[in-house]
Amino acid sequence: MQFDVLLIIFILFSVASYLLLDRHLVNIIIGFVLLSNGANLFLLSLSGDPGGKAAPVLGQFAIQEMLDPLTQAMILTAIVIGFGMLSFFAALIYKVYVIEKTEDVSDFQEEDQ
Amino acid sequence: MSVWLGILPQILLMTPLLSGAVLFLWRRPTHIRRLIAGFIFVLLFALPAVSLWEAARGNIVVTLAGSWLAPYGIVLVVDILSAVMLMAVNLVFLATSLYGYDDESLEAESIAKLPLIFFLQTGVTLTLLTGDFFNLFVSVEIMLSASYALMVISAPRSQLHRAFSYVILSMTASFLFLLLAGAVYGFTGHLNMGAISEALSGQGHEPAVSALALLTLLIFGLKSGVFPLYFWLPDSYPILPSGLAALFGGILTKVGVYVLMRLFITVFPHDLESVYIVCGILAGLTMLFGVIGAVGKQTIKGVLSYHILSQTGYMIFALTLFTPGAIAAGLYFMIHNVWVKSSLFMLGGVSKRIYKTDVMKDMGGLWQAAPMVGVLFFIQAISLAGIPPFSGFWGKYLIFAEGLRMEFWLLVLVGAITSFLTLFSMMKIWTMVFMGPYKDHSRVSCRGLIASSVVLVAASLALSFGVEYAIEVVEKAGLQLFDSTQYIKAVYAATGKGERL
Repeated sequence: MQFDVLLIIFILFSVASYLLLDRHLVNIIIGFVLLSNGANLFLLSLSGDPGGKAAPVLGQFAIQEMLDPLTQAMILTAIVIGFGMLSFFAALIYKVYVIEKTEDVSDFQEEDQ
Repeated sequence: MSVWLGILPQILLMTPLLSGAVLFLWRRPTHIRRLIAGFIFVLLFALPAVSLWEAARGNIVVTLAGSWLAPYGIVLVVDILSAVMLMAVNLVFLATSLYGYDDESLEAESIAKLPLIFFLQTGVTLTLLTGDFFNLFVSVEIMLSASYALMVISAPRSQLHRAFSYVILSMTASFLFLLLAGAVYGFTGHLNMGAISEALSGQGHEPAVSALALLTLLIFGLKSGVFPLYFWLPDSYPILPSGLAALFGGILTKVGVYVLMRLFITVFPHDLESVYIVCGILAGLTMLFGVIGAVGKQTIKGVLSYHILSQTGYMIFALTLFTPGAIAAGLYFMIHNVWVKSSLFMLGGVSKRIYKTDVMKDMGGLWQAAPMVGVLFFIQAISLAGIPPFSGFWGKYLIFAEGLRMEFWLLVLVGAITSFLTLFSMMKIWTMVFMGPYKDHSRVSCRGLIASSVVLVAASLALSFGVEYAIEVVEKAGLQLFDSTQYIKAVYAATGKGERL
């Protein structure tokens, strides 16, 4: 068992959930950063305890000694996607801030539809 | 299987992706750019028809992307369900884009709009075709990021902040989906859906499998607007211009329901009774809350956005019943809803152009000003409410008949009440906008808008009156879907390695 990783994922997720419920959009984006890191760490932990395992390089180590490389491929994809989403979200916050002069969700001018 | 059919899924996928990239070559929107885009939309509607022809004969076409062997490479799988959905969805892409040509002048059109619509189509197509769990995550992300961007470039500045409820909730769901993909991989050691399905079969009583199924329900319930996480939808969709509201309202939530169907039937084992109970409760509450929310809304887009939710409830109801017949009924209802809902948003946009407002009490007497719009709207409205002989009636009838057979009395009752309230709120639009005192309006030509709506109205009329043929196809789809060994076998066969993956 990897209790250290479990503990870090737990802390990241709980802080992220707290921040996501905030009124301020800047806190929400920090929440997303933590959430995406927590999710990536969770994926990484799925390849098992890395202690005593070899890097997944063909020809140098026996296959049984290698760490599962697929989760790392998944994390790589997920980091790229998550980074794109976060930068889009940051740009959106900036654009709305320019229009509304606030990034507090409760201060936006609501038109009743 | 001919080579042509093997590469067809890749053509369906690459055409919108490349078109989206190529359209950026034009520095500003021109007529030729629009013409080329329109031609590609027609092509992309015609191609799934070919694959449907093959799929309807019972052949599941599996393509190995980049010739990497399954279960390690990504596979694209075309069965009846995905072919039918793809055809229904691509027709909406065609109609709403034509609608957008008239809705926005060339000068007002953003250069990124058509490419983003193509990227959205890429994401939707990949979601419908992919046979790989992680690839499903990627395709849903492509779809969502294109939809965020479309919403942001086309929403009015003063309303832009309302996009946040959509973006924040969808992004949260995306990260949860990443967790789900990881957890499924950790539990089964596979990402190929056929291989996962095989690994999970007979494990329905494992608590971990129920947890995976519930997480799936949470994520895609959120994306398709299921109670209790639905409020982002009526909050954000009305800020879109009518053409895009028709596209989003017709497609995005239904793709969520499609993924639920695909995962619950093809991938997860078929004995998750506790999860189906949760599904049933959520279906009833979604139907009811969606339609009650619609009653209080003052704009056409507001009312229609809430109806998307209650209609999603019927589809989840069909999923709850979990029989081949119910899934067939749900699929028929889904196609009906894709077309009818989109065309209602489009016709609502016509009245918005005529009265220069979307608030219903400022309209009136449209029946005299534009009788053609009245006829089309009336047909689609009572079809949505479920009056025979239109497609909404057949869809609901099939679901209710299956529900009564399975003795889900309460849900059928809730469905019937919802249907009645839908009729009520459709009649509210009808009396306020089309009847009532004749209000002054601008004399603008809406020919292009009406013509593109007619495409979808004609399609849903064909679905209404060709109900016998349509049922034949969807019943085959239901049977094929429930026999998940067919899916697994088709994936095996494509690897060329015999019986086991």
